[in-house]
Amino acid sequence: MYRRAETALSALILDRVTKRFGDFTAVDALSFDVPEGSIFGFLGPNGAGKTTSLRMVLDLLRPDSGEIEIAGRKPGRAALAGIGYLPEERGLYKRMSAVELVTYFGMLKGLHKAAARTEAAALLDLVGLGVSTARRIDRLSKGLAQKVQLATALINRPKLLLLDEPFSGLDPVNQHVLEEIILDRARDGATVVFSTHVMQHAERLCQRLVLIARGRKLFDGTPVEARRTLPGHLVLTTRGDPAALPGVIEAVALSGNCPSEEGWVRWRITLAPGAQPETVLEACFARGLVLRSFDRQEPSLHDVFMHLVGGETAESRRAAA
Amino acid sequence: MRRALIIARREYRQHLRTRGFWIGLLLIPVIMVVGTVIPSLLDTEHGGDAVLLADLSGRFQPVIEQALAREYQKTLLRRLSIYTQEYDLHPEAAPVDWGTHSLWYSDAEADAFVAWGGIGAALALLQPILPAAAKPFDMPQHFLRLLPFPETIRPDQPKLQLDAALVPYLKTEPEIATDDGPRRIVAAVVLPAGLGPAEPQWQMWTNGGVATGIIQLVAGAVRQEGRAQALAAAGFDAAALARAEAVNLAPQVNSPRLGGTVSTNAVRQLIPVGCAWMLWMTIMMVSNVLLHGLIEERSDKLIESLLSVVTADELMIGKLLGVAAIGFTIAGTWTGFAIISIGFAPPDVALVLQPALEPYASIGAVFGLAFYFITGYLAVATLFLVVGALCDSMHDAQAYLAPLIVILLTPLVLTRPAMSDPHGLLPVILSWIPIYTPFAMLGRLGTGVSAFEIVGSGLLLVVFVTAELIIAGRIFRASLLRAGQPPRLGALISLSFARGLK
Repeated sequence: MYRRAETALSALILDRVTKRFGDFTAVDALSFDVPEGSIFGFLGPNGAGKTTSLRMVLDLLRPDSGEIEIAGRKPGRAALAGIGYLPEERGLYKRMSAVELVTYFGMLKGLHKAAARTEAAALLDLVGLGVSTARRIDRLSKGLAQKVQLATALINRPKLLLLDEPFSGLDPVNQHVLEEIILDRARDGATVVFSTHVMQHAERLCQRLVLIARGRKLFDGTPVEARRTLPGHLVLTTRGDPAALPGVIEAVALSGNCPSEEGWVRWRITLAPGAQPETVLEACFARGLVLRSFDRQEPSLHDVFMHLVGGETAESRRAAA
Repeated sequence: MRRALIIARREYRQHLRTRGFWIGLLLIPVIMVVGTVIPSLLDTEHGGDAVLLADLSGRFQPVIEQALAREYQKTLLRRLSIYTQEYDLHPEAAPVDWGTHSLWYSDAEADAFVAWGGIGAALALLQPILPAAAKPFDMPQHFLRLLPFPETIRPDQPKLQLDAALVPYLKTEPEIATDDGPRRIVAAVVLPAGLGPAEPQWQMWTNGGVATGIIQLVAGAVRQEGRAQALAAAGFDAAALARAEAVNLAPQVNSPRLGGTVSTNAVRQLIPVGCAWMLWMTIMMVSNVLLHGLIEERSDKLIESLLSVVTADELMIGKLLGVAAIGFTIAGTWTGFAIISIGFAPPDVALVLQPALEPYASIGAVFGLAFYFITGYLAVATLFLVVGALCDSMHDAQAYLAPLIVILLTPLVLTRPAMSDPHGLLPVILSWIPIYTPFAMLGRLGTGVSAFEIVGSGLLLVVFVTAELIIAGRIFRASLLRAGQPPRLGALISLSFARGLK
């Protein structure tokens, strides 16, 4: 069974999981594990195989090969009891009220009716439905309906929360509310796995992430490790030429080699893998390179995503050609 | 199973909130009330019917009056029969057996009853054996009276003028005051002076309503008298003719008191057909609920949420149970209304229905009805469930529904053959085709179906429904999250062999 060496407890493990639909391989020997209590990003472009993977975790689909383990259990009835799931394609019973619907899901998840109703009311209050809990779903706005759907996933206080594209369709305010809820659940000890192709959310929330494309894993690690897969950048303003500094691969003058009257030029420096900005700064001082500004630029997850997924896409195109 | 029951309860409650459910539920009882209670209420409000008669020949009126008098005596006999059975009276022997048979009497019996002493003698015979709490005999009104044409209308005027002259009496003011209260004029009859073989035509006008009984009564009397007069004119001996007329070979319809009258037996044959019809109606109503519900869940992207908390099997069983509960509510309500209607029905109707329903009051009969209702529902509803699992919209579902509806219409088409000959080849064959077994067997119940047929076809039905549920479960599991066009037959067969999730 696939397991990262340093991980003592895993909430979810996928081990060489493959799923094919006819000739199409949706998930290709995918392996990763999700540490218990973490917020885990399951990233990838559209059609990468994220939803198919989550459906296999929920036992809605069976893998053709490989194994899945949820807190030590195989996918199925017993494992489902501890899972809360927000599907990407959302739908609700339109003629039920919000509180009825969440109560219904609570009962299906094993709660008694009274407890389910109390929990439903509290959850709907938490997600911001307030006075609208008794309104029928078809009379709620799309945003409020999405919050009701989220409440159906949270009703059983799941130990493993699987959120498939949870931020899609939400306005920035509600995206922030959802981020708070995810953080809150993680603080309570739940493991949160969410899929997205919007990297800003992953950047703010994830402790670990897996990036997949075309069913294959491209990266597995922490966001810091993800950023390190790309060369670092600096933007500095100096009167000298920084290209010869140690650890610098490339220096491009941003002002097109047209210095200001005093001779200052803005440069974008690409660092060699492993080179640290501090070393470059020390070298500047050591060589008497006068600096007017020195700005360290970390690559974002978006950059990492574009770099890895773009490369994968280009490779696939070449293979197809 | 707990989750399946929660799903069933939601399905049930949710459907109870729809207008369609209440309309479907109450429509049949409303029809029952309109069909039974309202006419009986209306009957008590008007004082009977009248026919305007102008016998210009002077030869036919006495015969028509005699026919009317006989009909009244038959009504009296029927009422007497109901009255004696209501209080379980056993009067001493009388020339007409009004103590045990109730609903059909011949002219000869009516005449014999009058000759014996009529209603006065009958009531005198009953008086000593009547219980103290018995209600007095409700003397029926003469339902039809003959009245002369109003003085303002000359009956010998041409037909077109009579048409116009009669309009106010038959259409505009169809009631006329008589010595026993206002009566509705339902017809007007003009018998010409020369009515006979040479001039056979006579005229009758009706108020536009269905007056078949009155037409038959008047026409029968006129025809009979016309023939007698023609025979006499041809030289036949009048005394011999009178003797021939007196010969009446009409049957005496004997009906054991508890075994039921002629009408009771007819109703007894109708009840199984009614049950089969109710099963069909209920199944079609609730199967549509099942289909729409599942398609709604698929099209509204609800299925994935549901399947993350319940298994496909739990979802299927829950839906079948919930919708079955809706079906039983409908069937139970209709049955309840029927029973209540019988309670409120006029005594003569109740007297027919109660013994007809008695055989269905046994545990065995109730079990049989419940068995065919449950298996019939499962056999048909499961097919609708599979269609719902395969389709994203009603438009997609039409491709499957069209042949399915044709197959399911067969039991309705075959109701008549089953009624006329319950042991004919067709009803027997249908009894052994599992999807038709519940309908065919319900329609044949009470007609002496052999134990072998009941047990054999019942076992075959159980095997069929079990296999159907297993295959439907496989298709259900494998297709719920499938997207795109519904599968073709080959793919459908492949799905039916799928053991697990796809």
